[in-house]
Amino acid sequence: MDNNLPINAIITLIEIPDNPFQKNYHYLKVRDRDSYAFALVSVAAALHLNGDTIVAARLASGGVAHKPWRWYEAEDFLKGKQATKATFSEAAAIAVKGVKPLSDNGFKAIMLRGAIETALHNCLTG
Amino acid sequence: MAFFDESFSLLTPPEGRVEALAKVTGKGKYAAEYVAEHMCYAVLVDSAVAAGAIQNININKAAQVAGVIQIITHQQKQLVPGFSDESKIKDSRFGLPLFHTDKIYFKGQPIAAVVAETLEDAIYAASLIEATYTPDNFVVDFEEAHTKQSLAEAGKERGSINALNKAPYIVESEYTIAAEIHNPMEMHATIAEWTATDQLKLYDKTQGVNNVQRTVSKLFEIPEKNIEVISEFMGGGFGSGLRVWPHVLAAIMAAKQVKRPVKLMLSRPQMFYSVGYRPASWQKIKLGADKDGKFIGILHQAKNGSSVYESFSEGITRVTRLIYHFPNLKTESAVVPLNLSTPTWMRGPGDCTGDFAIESAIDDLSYQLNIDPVQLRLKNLALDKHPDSGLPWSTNFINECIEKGAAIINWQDRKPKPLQLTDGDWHKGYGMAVGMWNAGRNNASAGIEMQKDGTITLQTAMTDIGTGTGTGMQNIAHEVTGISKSKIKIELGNSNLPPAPSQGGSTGLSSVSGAVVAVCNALKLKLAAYAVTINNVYKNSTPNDILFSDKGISYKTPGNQPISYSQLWDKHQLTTIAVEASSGPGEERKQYAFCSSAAHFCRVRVHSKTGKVKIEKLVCVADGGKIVNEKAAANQMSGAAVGGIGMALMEEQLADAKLGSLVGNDLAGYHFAVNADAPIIDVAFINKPDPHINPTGAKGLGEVGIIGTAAAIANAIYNATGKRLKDLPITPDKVLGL
Repeated sequence: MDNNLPINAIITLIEIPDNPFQKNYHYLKVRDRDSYAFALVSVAAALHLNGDTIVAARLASGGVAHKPWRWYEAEDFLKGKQATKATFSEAAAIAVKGVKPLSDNGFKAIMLRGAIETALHNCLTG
Repeated sequence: MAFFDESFSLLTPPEGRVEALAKVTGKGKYAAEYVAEHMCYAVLVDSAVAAGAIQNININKAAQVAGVIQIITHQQKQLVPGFSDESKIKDSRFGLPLFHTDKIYFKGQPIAAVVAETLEDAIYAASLIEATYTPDNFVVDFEEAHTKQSLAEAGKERGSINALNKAPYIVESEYTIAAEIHNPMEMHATIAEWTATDQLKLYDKTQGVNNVQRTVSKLFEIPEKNIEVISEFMGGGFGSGLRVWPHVLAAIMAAKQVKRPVKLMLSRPQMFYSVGYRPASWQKIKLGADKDGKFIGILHQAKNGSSVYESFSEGITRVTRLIYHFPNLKTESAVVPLNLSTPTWMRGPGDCTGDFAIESAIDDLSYQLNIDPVQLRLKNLALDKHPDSGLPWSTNFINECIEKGAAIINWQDRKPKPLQLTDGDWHKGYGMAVGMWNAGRNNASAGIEMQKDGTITLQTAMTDIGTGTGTGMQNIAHEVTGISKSKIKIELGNSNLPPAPSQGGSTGLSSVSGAVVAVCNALKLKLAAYAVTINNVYKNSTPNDILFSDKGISYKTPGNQPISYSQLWDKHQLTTIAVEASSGPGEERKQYAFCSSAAHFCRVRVHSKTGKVKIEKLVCVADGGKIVNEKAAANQMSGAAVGGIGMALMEEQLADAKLGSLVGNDLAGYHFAVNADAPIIDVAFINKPDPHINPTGAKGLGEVGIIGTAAAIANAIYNATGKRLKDLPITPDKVLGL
């Protein structure tokens, strides 16, 4: 793994600062079997909400690139929008707009879009 | 630790299973766990090409590894007598002439065995073997290859298939199923020890010790009785242990050559190409009915993959000629040779594959006809007789299975059209299918040894592959004799015990139960013969007149005082009483047809945005005749149902068309269903004895638990989504329609 730890260093503690995303978040992993399988696609979504308004959003996926992939454009789009199905659907469309699947995984673009939509929606319900 | 160190007795089954304590404490040994004195280890070296011939095998580097004892190749070996010429190889029906040919038929074919002092030495040395090949063209892609294979008639045509042309309602569809791998938890292993030049002892993972004995006896041209085969415990079989595979022979050859006991255990990746699998298949169905839903006819065509060195036909269309009345019927099949290892029987072989297509097509037809799928099936079942042989069924309760299953799942909640039940982005649906299996029985023997304290040891060579055979035998012996279960010990899985058939094809309990009843009766008569010297009432008694209890032997007349076993033993100065008896099928097979059957019902939810399928409820109602032990039987059914979930939703062994190798052949890459994929399976039984099949009325259950499961799931997915998915496994990408 990439790191800049000095030689012989041991990690003893990880601090996660308090943040406004801890109330509305969801992790969705779509896979062929429900345990011990790689994600076909996975989505981590978190919303900072003020009432129904999205103050900020964090959105990332696994199973779509060689590393976890952040959907910055979709995050920007969500900022200031109402947390509705229509907003989530549009955010998902923005995220997948530029994805280029390979010859044998064309399904991932469509599955990803559905997974992002679902994950964002599930942020509201837990 | 204390628990594991406690001594225990196999007499008391705490969880209902006679072998439970032995298994959980680790004291029950699986093949690879035995230790023989001076044992060494063999590791197989696999071919790196999928077709062609071996040019040369350079063993020099490997031979220099400290600890290496011997390296066996086709150039360097002792001749196996059964492989001494081409015609003998053919007669042996062993399949792969291991180390007796330079030809390569598939990638992974063993080309050498390295024998060393330790497993680590053997693995390292095996990695240093350098082979060169003359490669040849190969085909591993079933999808491509099957289109070039022409069909041949499989069974006699019934009526005329042309009648289909006039059918007002027709379904015509193609179905495919990916290759599936058995993957029992316990990997196949053999320990071979030549105790004399013509005496062999084998600890082997097998579903049939007598089958191993026969096969090896032929190959080495030594008497069967000189070969002792031990397979006392098994960590799952599912069919992979029904043949003697090349690695078994490799261990035997190695042991002979190094004159020491040799242990050979397959690695998990090797398990994918060394012990068979369910072959990939293609099917086409043309099914026609009249406006009332009466079937007019069916054309069923099927092809399955095999190897280039053996032809294995799955018998996919057999089930088409079993469940329903089709006045007009034609079945055709073909085997497609591929550069893969030979497939074999895997749970519900053939029938489970064919049944998926038929039961999917019938479901399809029910929507066309607007008839409830349950009613459509009830209308067409062949309940009066076996449609092919014309023999009346001894018993056939498939209709009762259907009715009971429908009640358990609340079938009335199902909507007749798709997309009618939703819960947010989830679509819900109900599906059902039935399965059937010709219920077999073979000759089997059992023995009893009885001691003065009234305990008996009930023995047979049959291996319990995890189905609960031993527990079932104990139950039967208790019922027939009256001896308490805690005084009945079970001994299985050794070829020195009374001979029995392999445990496969749902014949295990059906076969051995007859032998158990026979040997219990033999014991009764034997003891009665001793008892007659004490009480004349036993003169000319029949087994039904005699009762055993913990107190002793007694005669059925009221008020008869039991004679204690110790009195009997003392009077006749006995030590151990031993009896043996055999039992098998007879005339009843000419008078009746026999079947086991099951109805499967499923409720699924399908996520419209991700394609994820979740099985909410899975119901399996089976007719297996009399249920000897409900816990073990239900356990077998739910295991089969979970296997069916895997078949329906995820199991798929791919081969790389460019490299000829399997892709992802390990437990991470090959997905079978885990607990998270399955609900608690609702299992129920009809539990009515079959009066003719054997003395206990019990029929096999192993296969019917999976025959129909995949179709029930696919049909439920259609009911939920309106998508008719005909290619297994139904992974989320297919559900999304991509």
